Amino acid sequence: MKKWIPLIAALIFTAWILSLFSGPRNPKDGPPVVEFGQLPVVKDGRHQPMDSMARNALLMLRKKQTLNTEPWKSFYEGPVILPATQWMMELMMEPAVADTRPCFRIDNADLKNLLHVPIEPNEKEHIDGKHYTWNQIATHMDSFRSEVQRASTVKADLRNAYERALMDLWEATGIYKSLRAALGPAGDGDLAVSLPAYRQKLQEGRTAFQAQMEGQQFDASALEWAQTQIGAAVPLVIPEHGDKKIWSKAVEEVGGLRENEAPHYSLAAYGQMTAAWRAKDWPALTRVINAYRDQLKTEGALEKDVKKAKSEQFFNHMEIFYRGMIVAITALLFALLVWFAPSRFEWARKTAVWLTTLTLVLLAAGILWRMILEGRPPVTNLYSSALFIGMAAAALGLILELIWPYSIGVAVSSLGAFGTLLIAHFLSLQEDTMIMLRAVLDTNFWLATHVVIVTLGYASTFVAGLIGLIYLARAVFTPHVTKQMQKAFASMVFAIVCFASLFSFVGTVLGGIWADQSWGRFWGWDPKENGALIIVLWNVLILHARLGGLVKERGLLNLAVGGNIVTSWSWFGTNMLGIGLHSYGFMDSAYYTLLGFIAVNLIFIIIGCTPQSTWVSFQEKDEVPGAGPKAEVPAAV
Amino acid sequence: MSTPPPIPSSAKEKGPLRKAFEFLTGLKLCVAILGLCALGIFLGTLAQVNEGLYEAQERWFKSWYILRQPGDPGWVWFYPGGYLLGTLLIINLTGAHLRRFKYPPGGLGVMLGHYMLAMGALYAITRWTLWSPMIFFLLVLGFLALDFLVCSTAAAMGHLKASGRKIGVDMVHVGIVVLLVGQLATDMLATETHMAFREGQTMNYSESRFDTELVFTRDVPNDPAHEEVVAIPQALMVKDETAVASGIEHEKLPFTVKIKSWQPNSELVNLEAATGHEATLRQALATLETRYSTLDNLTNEATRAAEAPGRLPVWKKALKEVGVVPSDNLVADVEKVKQQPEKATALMQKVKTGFRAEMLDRFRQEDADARYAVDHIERDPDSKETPPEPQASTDVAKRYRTVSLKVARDMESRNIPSGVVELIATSGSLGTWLVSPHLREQTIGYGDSKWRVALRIERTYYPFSVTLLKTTHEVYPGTEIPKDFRSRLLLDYPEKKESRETEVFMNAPLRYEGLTFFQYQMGKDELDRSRGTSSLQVVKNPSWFSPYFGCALVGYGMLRHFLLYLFRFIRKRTTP
Repeated sequence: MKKWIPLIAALIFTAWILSLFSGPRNPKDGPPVVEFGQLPVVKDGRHQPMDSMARNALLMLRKKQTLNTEPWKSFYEGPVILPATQWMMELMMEPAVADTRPCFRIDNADLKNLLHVPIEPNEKEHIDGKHYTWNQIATHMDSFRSEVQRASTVKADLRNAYERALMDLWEATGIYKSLRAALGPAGDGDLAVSLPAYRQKLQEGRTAFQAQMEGQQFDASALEWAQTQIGAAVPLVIPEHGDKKIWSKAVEEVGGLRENEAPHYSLAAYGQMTAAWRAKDWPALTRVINAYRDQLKTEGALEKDVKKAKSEQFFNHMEIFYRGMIVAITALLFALLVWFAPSRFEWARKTAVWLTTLTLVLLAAGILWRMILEGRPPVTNLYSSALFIGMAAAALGLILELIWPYSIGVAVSSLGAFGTLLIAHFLSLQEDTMIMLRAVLDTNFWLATHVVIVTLGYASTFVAGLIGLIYLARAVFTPHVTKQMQKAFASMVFAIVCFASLFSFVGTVLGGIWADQSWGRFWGWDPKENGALIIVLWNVLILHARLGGLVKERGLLNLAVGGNIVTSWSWFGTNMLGIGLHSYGFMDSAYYTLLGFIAVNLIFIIIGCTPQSTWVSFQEKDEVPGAGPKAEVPAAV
Repeated sequence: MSTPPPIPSSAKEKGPLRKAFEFLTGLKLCVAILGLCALGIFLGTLAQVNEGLYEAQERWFKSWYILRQPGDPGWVWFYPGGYLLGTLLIINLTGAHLRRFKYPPGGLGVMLGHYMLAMGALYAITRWTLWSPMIFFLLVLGFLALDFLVCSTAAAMGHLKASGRKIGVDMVHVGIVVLLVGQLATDMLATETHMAFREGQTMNYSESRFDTELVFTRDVPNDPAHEEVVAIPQALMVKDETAVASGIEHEKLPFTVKIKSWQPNSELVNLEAATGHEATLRQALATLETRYSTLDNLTNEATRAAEAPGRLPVWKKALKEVGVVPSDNLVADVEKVKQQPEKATALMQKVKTGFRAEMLDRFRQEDADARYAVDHIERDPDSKETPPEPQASTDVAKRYRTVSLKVARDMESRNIPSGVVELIATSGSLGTWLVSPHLREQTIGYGDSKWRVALRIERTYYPFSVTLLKTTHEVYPGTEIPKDFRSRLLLDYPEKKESRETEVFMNAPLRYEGLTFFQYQMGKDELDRSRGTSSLQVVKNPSWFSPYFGCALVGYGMLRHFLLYLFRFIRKRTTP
């Protein structure tokens, strides 16, 4: 029976993924969330579906893509959980209700004290001590704002935990306010009533602004309202039309109207949606949304946006990388099982191989899909580099497993994929993962090949390092590693280090060529460039140390573990310096994770330098002295 | 990797020279150098945080050795610099090849022919197809296939055996040498300047990023279009940010130039404007003083503040400082405080200091003149000091002063130096001149030669001119993220009768006359917002091709060498 397990496991997971192809569904007797989520919108310069905008906003607010409206309830009490789009619809169309939803997550105690929000969980009063509503935060807006003003004068990398939490929450409230203002007059119901009132308020805002400029008394609340409406982060919901070649904000559409001129049909459509939403008339809401979408499709220029929005919504719904993570961790468990009794668990090894292959397929499909959505090469930012490293590590590990079927390659493969997907998940909490690129990073042959190849270099160095770690862990702490296996370990690492040398060198060089063409210097000693160069040097050092007989198999594996440190420094450490062209901003929690990772690797290297006689493996006395692999010069592979 | 040939075993026969040679060319030293390089680059990268990108590069990478400086990791007392490690690596690498060289069995001619052909082909491919990368990669791969085919045929016939196996490694090492030497040449020879203009403007020179020059000019008789120029580069006047004392002479100049003082970064103050600012500010401070001189007036002031929201924060802060939690009604709060006179006096003082600080702060942000005024008021609140001596003897120095600023070390900011120059003729000193890039040319008025003097950003002149025709500056809708930066240019080279339009944009520089023009910054003209401005980076690097060729060699060599391994490995596994 055991021989069927690999196939069954693979089939179960495949079926699980295929079941998602039925597409996203609306909540039972709920609003048409799916239809609304497909509507195109432009935010941060990127054409996207409402669905993506809502998910990214909630990620910023509470690090989740859904809204738990009753966080004080335990999982078993079945709290009501809303999809991101439903929350955003409510925020846009019925803000008074949305303001009572606990959608802001605050963990910092000082910040909670500043805002006078309750800290102790209290089920009766519907408080969980972590999630707060807009109304709760807004009560102490003044002290919040003055603290933000103070903290914003502190340099970003010098801020303490409280100040960072403060600025994060400030950003979150900014996103919240900009979404609330997104529909302009249409967020207040039918335009016939709301438009004149809206124009009136805009006028009051203008008057207040002029008064302020002239140093006279002014209506601060009217000014603030107007400023929220035109804020930089407010999404562009009005499609290009007429003379306007780009999308615009609702407030710009209204501001640009002449006397008695009707606004664009999109604004009217959103107004009707709001009316239907407030009446809880879901069939009517569905009709309005569909009619609006159909109308957009008839306009040549917008049809593409509508299609792309639908495709991206489907992509969001699939959550391919999350599912890949689940498959990878399962594969890893099977791969680890093999180590305890290799001869008995061949079925587990095969299962791991099948599941890792499935992970690889998922990753490749997800990366390809992202490329199509973005119209860009696979690696454009730190997030996509993590995905790509995961895919490359999975592929390399599987190839190794085909040649040396010891459940080492497949373990590296699944561990690498799982680890990088986890990193990608944390990176996705920081900003929209498909964010637009500045001109200098725009598509260019050298840049595209540079990032892809250098990322392959990173991935392969990590693979060699992981193999080294597995070797050390197993040889030092378990009796399973034989001299023959040690030789296989070394051969794998040698092959991968050759590969890594080639790819990290060529990748680094292509980066230099790109830099030469973009800003006139081949090599600028930028931290990221230096990091890549250190990887090249390290790999070359390993090759020469082995060539000169300075290290044997064990030393080779130990040096490979050093590659982990070097690569993690180059990949993440350099970004934390906060200088140079490649910086992506300071990442605080990642900093400690990185230090931890480096420490673990250092500890393993130290352990790896202890005499082998103290290790659990290699204790068999049946070896003929002098005939062991120790005596011979390691052959190439 | 092929195993090195065994080193002669009898150690007794080796003299010290032989030992030294073996050490210098050995793999132990090679590994040590590689390790030192990796660690040095790491330390140099860390140093960039404190020292700035530029300084750290100079100290760690473009140097022979590094001595301890404050801020370095505790254990670093001495470290080999980039030049030293690079030189050692070249010695080690070439030495190793010499030491292991064996006369090729197929004959030296065949081997040399093979090497020259391969490297020559790679050079040609890189040189001619660099700008169409797809073709480049296809040609390189095609050549590799051909190389393998020829080599395996030749090997089957008994020729070329050794060189066919070793050429990969050899090319990698030649490539490394090309890269290292090329980088050294770039450090020595490359220059980077800027050309900044607004739409419609024509330039025939570019300006340095860091350096200034002291220029002496005079009119050429009967030729109004030209003037005679003597320029003294900054490097001759200043070393390590201080003036070099000795006099500078030039055959054309009728006087000796002496740099009396030098400020590496400074701002220029218009003394008249500063005095005006100071008067305004002193007036305002006096008013403030009278307003908050008696407690009777405190409620009035609070009422005024309650009506103007901008004044509230200072009051609220002051209230908190005297231990009162401010409510929404400021006047009531103040009334309450007034019941305790001591507290009220403290409150009054706090409010006064608060407004005073705010006023000074706002002034300080205005401009250099206002900053000068604020500094003076803070240093000398009662205006007792006599005004400082002018920095130089000319009239200009009576109207202007330069104030020293902290030297900026990061890449983004630019330092504006200034100095005082003394001119000495045979008859004695002619006086002293205050010079700054912000000041116009000043006349010297000595003899009948009518020389003028100015300190300006160092210029490089070209025999052609560039006109900025149009700028394009696009951002993604609703954001500030740049999407497209481009400048349309007119190149005019009269001597060559060349006059044509071209474009420079991100990732697409213009290569012209040995120079490369990159799109650097874009903006709007400060006086006329409808006109775009553009700044181009102008790079002159005679060894620009060396990294391309070096990389092609290393990449090709590695690919070839590792593929040989792969083939051998596959052969081994398929034939048990």
